[in-house]
Amino acid sequence: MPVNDDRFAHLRKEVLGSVKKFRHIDLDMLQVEIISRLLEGRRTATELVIEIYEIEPGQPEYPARYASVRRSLKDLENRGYASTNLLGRDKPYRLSNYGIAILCSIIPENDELPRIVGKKEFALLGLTGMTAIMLILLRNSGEIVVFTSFAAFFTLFGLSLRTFLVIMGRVI
Amino acid sequence: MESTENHDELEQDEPGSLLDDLFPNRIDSLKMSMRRKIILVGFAYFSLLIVAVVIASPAFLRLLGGGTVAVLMPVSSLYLPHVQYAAASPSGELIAVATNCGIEIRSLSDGELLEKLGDERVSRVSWSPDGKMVAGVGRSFRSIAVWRFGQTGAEIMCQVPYPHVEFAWFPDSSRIGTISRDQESLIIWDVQKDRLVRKITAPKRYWICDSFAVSPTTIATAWFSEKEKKAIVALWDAQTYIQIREHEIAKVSIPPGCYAGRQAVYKMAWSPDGNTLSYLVSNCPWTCYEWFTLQLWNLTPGSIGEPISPVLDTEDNGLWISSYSWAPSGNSLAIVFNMSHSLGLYELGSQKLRYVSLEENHGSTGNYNYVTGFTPDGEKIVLALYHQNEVRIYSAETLEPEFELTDYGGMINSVDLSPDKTTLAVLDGSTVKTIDVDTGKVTKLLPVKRNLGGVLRYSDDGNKIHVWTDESVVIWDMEKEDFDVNWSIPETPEEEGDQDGDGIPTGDHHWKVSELSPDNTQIAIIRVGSDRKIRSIEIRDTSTGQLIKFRDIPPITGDMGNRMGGSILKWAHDQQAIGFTDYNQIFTWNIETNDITRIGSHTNISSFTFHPQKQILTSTGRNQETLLWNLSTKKHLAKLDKALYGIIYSPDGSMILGNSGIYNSTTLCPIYTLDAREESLGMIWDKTGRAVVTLTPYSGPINIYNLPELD
Repeated sequence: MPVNDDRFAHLRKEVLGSVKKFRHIDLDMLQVEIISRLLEGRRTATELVIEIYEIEPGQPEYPARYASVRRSLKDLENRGYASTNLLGRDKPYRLSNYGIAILCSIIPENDELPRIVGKKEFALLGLTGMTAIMLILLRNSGEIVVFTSFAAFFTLFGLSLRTFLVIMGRVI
Repeated sequence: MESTENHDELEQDEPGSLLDDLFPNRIDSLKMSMRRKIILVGFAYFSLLIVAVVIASPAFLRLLGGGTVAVLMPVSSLYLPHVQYAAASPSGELIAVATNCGIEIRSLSDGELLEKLGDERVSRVSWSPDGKMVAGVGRSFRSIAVWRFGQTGAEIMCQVPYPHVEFAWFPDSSRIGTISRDQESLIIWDVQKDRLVRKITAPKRYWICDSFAVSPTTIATAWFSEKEKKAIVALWDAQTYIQIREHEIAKVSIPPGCYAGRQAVYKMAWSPDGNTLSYLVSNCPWTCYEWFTLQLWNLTPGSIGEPISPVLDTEDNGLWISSYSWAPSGNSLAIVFNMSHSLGLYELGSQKLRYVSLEENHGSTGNYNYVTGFTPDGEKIVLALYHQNEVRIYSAETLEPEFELTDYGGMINSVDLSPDKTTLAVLDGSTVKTIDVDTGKVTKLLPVKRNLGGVLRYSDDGNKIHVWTDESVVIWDMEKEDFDVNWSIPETPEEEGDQDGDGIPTGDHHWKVSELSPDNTQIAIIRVGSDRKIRSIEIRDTSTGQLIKFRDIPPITGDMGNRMGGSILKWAHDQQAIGFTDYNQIFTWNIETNDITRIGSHTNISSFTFHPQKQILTSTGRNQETLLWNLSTKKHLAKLDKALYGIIYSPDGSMILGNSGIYNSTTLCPIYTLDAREESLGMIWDKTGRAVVTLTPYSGPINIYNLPELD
């Protein structure tokens, strides 16, 4: 039965890949619950406690549940999966673009887990830093060298700034 | 087995974010949201980039020109005329003298200045044959300006564009001929109608030589070709501009790329009757422009003769011809011989040559002497002596000088402003002149030892003027009107024979350079040896000439080659060190410790100067670079892609004057542009640092600029 073997091998590979990705994402059951709620829309911590544990504020076990939900949310926030408003009294949580991308990556068709800072972006930022060092080292050179280094620096600086805003957009 | 494999596969970790990979513990330990981590890291990253920009910003400001660069207009412009050329008027009453600041029309009888035309440097001047117009080739040969004399004086009637240096009037005074700047054609310009009449173009692969001549009937031109290795004299009808004849010059050699080819045939002229064409032929295989022999070509109607070659072959006897002129009678030629610096009269009939030295009772004349013509009666010969700065009139009969115009100065070497800013002292080679800044009049004329170089400086009280050259030191007391100090710098002991085998006696290579200390009490002298390397440096007392300190220079300096000029010796302002250069490297001699230190290399360095307070030196050179050196680290602090000739620090060291501009002494950013017709050399700052003096080489003027008061 070579055909079935091939299918099985393919299926096995896909499942293992997804399991590996899921392990890397490293979510506990409560975080999975939170994410499933946040996929439906923004939620405050209180709303999440009410929805997940079906308890209301004032009940005896509410503070403990609230604390665990809050811890999980903080953990998700630290890892860039969830985000909330920087300002304002009400701070409903939502999934960040990075968080959504991470979840999408679990699908077997997607090969790699997404990164907050991609390889090319990191190379660009590094190159800009190197250009800045060159700028300092070559500042006493002739006009052509100074002009070239400044032109290169400001070009890369602009690209880096744009890249930084894109990176920010992934976790906000 | 299978479960173990699965477990292993699961254990292989997938990469997370690169930030997590690089700083896993640190980022996690921050215990903050990813968003905050990103903001924090981004803030730090961009802050560092901004710090880099701030550090490099002086270079950027320099690139942008330091922001707004103010243009300073001179508060005073002083011209000291020196002679370029001269021509007697056809009437024999006037003489037009071309100077660095216009054309002077003077009386030929007493030299009285009657009129001044223009203020540009004029290199050639010529009267129209009818004597009603004067034409001069202006500065940088941009145009030939033609002035017409009328009831109200002279006024410009036309300007012939794009000329080369040579031009000539047509005998009817209606047209001027000149060689185009690209040397491909002879341009004929109608001065009455102010328009181009004709272009006579050189044949393919030929260029027109630096000379042509016009008779009433014929135009004579000459072509040369480096490829064909020949020069041709061509004759054209002066009315129809059709070529009549041509003749190949026999004795001419033009190597490829030889600039002298332009002067393969030179100084063409027609005899007064228009029947004989004369010209000089270059015999020089290379670039000796003054090495000419004279040829005559009899072109009397009906004659089919070839040019007589040569009439005067002066190659062997060293009487190289630099210029000549036909006597009005057509029987003789006045000739200036360059190497012997003499004036000759050559009788065509008897073929006899009489000549007298131009230097007798006059001193050295240099090489650029021109016989510019006879007076119409043929009794006087007019000469312009460029280096001597004189116009001389010689008797054609006796060859004795009859009259001299000596009101002209020489090439200005050095300028200083008196401490009270009322007087300028100017060294022009042979004399020191003091000039009133307000009126521009020469107030005192102080003779110094004749020398083509030299520098001068006022004493702090303004009562004395120090002049030092490579040969002597002079202090002129203004109150006593006499020399306070006058001594010659001892010659370098010459080595015997031709040790380096170049055919020149070894001692001939020796030369020396001197520089007065900032407090005027000492003079430093550098001596260059027969190996063309700096041999020694010494300090002498300015007043007595007594040796104070001597230091042999080890063979660390390079070959000085031919003496290239510029300032190769400078005192530090604290007089603790002396800097010197071999035109490629900069060294300092610490007078106290006697140590010689190499600061660094600057190719083709032409001058350098020490900062008045800091351990900084600025060098500039012909490689179009100006460098700021840290004397402690021997590293560059800043660089400007421009040479700042005549570079001088302001008294407080905050600014640098050089090359028609004032620059920030730390960043080399321009602060002020000094308005001047041509690029100028920085000469001096006044003691307060609020005024500067610049000099435009060759043509002048001396400009004084006041810096605006600071708020």
